[in-house]
Amino acid sequence: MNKKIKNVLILSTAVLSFISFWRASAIVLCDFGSSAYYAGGIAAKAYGPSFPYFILAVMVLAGFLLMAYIESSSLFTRGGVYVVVRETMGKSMAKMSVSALIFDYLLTAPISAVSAGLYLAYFLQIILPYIHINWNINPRAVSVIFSLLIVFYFWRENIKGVKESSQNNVRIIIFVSIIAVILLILSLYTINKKGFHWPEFKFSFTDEALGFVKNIKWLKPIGLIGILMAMGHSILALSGLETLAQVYREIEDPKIKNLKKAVVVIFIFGFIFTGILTFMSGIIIPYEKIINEYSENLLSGLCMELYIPYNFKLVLKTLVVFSALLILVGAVNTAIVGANGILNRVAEDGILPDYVRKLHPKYGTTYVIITIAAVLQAVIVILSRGDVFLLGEAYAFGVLWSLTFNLLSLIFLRFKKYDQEREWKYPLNIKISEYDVPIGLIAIFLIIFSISVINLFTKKIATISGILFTAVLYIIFAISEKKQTVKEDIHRVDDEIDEEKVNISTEKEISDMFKKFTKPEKILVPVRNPNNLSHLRYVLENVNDDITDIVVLYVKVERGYEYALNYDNLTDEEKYLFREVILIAEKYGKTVHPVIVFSNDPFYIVLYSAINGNFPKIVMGVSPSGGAEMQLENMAMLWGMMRPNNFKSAIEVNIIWESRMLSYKLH
Amino acid sequence: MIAVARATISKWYNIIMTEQKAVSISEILRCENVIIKEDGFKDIGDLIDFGLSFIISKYEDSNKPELNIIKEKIEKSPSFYTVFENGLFIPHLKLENISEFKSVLIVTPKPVKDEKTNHNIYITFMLFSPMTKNFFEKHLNILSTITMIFKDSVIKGVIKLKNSSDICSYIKSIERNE
Repeated sequence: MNKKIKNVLILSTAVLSFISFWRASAIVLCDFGSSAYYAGGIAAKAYGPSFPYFILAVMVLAGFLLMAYIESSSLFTRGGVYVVVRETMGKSMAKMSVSALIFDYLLTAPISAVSAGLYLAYFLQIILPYIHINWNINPRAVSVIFSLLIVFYFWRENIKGVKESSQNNVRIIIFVSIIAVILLILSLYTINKKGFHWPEFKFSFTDEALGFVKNIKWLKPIGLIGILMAMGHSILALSGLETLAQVYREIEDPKIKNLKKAVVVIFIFGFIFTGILTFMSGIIIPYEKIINEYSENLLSGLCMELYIPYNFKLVLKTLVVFSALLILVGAVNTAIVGANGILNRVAEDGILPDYVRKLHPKYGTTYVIITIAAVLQAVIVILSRGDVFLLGEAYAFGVLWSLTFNLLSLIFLRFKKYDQEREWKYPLNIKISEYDVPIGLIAIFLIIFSISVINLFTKKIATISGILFTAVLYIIFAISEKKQTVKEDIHRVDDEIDEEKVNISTEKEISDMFKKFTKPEKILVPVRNPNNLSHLRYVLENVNDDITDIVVLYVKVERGYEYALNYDNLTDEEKYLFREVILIAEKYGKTVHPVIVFSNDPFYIVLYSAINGNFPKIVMGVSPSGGAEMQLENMAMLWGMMRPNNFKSAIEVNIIWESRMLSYKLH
Repeated sequence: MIAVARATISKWYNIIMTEQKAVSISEILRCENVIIKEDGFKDIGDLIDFGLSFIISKYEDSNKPELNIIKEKIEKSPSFYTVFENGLFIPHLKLENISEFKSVLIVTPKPVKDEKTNHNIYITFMLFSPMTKNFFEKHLNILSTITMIFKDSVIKGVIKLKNSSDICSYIKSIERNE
């Protein structure tokens, strides 16, 4: 090895590669869209025949809520309820909101897995006798065993990495979309042949669905209160929205544009699949039949009531059950991804112990968090004993209260950060002085807040278990944060530096590192100062990372010739530098390859890397000590010494600072 | 008088260099500006003073820059002291009010020790360039050419030569081969 190059470290994190809006949509839809299979049945049982109207209304509401996530994502790349609420209401409220939300994430996986298990069990009840197997199938026992297997499967998949699992989500959503279209066409055909009935707009709340209201004489499930109560019992169709904020950091460039596309895809899919198909079920299947036969497998019921031959019904039912299995198990995956994302945000803030964010040595995923989430989900599956209604009753506390705080925080942010540039703003604003008063956001907040308050009274199980869980988790966060603070005070002088968790691979020969970069274009971006990265921003704004390897090179200056073999040799400022690099890459949604080279001559290494790695372009920030001309002079002098004899092409050196660029070609 | 005004540089900062042809050393270095100092110098400061005085002496009296002002500018230019491991020293500066390159090549077979880098200096190529947009790329090209020519073997060859014209011819022959 060249004596000026001592060692090469290549850093990677779970987020340095990015996904398309289709993949992002698929991840969210596997949760959000999956509620089509159970929301209608649970709602029908809870408050009566008017459920199709409310499920449809909740889907429209989802559209307005999805838009709120665009505005919050334009403010925070690593956003979500925890970050947004912390920004306006402080850490305590943020911990509270996130505790509530995690409760729902932990419920999403069990409710989806149990529902999938029930679809499978009811299907087996019909199919097995056909092949002369007369087992006495207990649907709830089957659903518990099935759910545990699914949680285990997706726990393993997520340990392997998001990108790998998101590809599965895309396939699932494509298949489910095909089934949805078939069901929709056949439903319209059935309506055409058999006619239909409008579902009655009346409420018949069960005792469980009335919750505490049963004992409050002045609170009656009529009028607006009745509507809000019914909406509250339909909110479980909203699960998965927060996942959108969690996957935003992984969406590729242009981020907001792709997020908007993802929102449109999610809304259309949710509206048609959950809203319209539940509505079709409501107008085709008699209400009594829904309650007595299909409440646990509504879309299977829709197949059996279609105006088509019986054998065709069985084939279609098989496909529907298969699609239910796929999307509902996909929801288990999304719940693990979501819980992982939220707990990561919390851990980044020093509220969870550092070892919780440790990366898997092979796959680079936060395996401790993923394992905790999967274990808790498995425990909830066992406790539910396969009762989807029980899980449905427990659901929505977290979703609603986290949405309430999220929307309220977004409203506050319009005043607190009124001058911050937003790539997208929630519509309906009135300009008063320098403020954009968010009338649209306020309206949607009032709706969600009203439903949240009503749900406290009606969803007894959700209120009790939600408050208990939130309180317990909040206490764990608080104790853990206190311990972390004490530990940091002892070991760290500067607690402002939040270290990015990275995976390190070491190359003894720098040429081995260059073999990893195989895209047709290459750019070398040397970095030094975390506050001087405008040149990296310039590259990320102007370069297509699909065809370009963007290698971010940091030269750790080591005097003498001792070998510096690990990342721990870096100072806090250097670790902060890499955190900034990763955050900027996330913001632009473009892949970068951070590399650390230990050397005693930074300019030499930059040029050596460019020559030996075939980089036709070097983009540098300006040196505050010497200035751009001095940098180019150094490069020119080194070039003369290092230029290979048979060098045919050229290396363009760009020095960029603020909005200026000085460019020179080394021939 | 040569004014020191760094701020004036910013006028032409937003530039992308036109790809000018490489400049040969022979174009900017006259043979009379090649000096062999067999006895060397006391230290690097002495060497620089000698080089500066030599270049200034080549100006006509009416246009002669003040040594003190150049020294002030050198103090503000850390890149002036560029010493390489192989014994090549390229003190360089961009100056206003000059319209062409000014240079001197000082050969010191008895090396001058640079205390900062601990390197021995055998060849000193002192270069003053006009501080204008057009000359900056040329300035870079010359710097690159100097290091390209004065590789280890050439430095070893030059310090063996006994007079300026031999050194000039040797450099020209190296340039032709490059």
